[in-house]
Amino acid sequence: MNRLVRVMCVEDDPDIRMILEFSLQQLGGYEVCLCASGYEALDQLSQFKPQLVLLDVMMPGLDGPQTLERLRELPDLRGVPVVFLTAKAMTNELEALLVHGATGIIVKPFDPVSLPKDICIYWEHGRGIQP
Amino acid sequence: MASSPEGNDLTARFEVIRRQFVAGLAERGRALDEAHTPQQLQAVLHRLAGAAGAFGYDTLGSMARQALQASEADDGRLARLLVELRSEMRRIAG
Repeated sequence: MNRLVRVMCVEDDPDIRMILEFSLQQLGGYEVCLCASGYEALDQLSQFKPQLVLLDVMMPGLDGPQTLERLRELPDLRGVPVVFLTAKAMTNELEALLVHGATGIIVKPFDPVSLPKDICIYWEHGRGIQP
Repeated sequence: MASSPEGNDLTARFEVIRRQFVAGLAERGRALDEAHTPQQLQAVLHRLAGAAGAFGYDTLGSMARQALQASEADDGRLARLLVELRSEMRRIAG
């Protein structure tokens, strides 16, 4: 598919999940799968087959980097860009996150109006990069 | 957002989730008060910092972020920052 359609969002905060749905589904027109935890994401991945995953870094239980490690074991993640979502904005912390193999980082709070376009740019750049 | 019929609809829908966020501030405040460890406190502050700005509450988000940094740095500003933060939360929640 040459267009970004299916986006999976993994975020433990229910208010942020709401705004992700508003931004990506209602404003952006994407098909959105919302997961409240890394475990849910692992569960839903092969059914939903996202073309891009937005992954919160700080979550209880399985955090973002741990979730990414486990997601990578699944064949359905091949070629799918993963973008971390984090409220931390210090450069060294952001660089440390990229070591985990994410395509990029979006810092919270994000602008719900520009998010749909921002993730599309990550998708265009991140396609074909093996996780 | 534009004031077309669709724009108004989107604005209305955003308003619904914004109000839910504001209604949730009471529970977030309780979570702050009840945090026993720095890690618990930081987790609550982190979520608040991430959500507040996205809903347009930049001051609140900035205050949460400052409190988060103070907690991580274990510096003496934390108590005062938390008081100010709780005050701002109560102000927004009405």
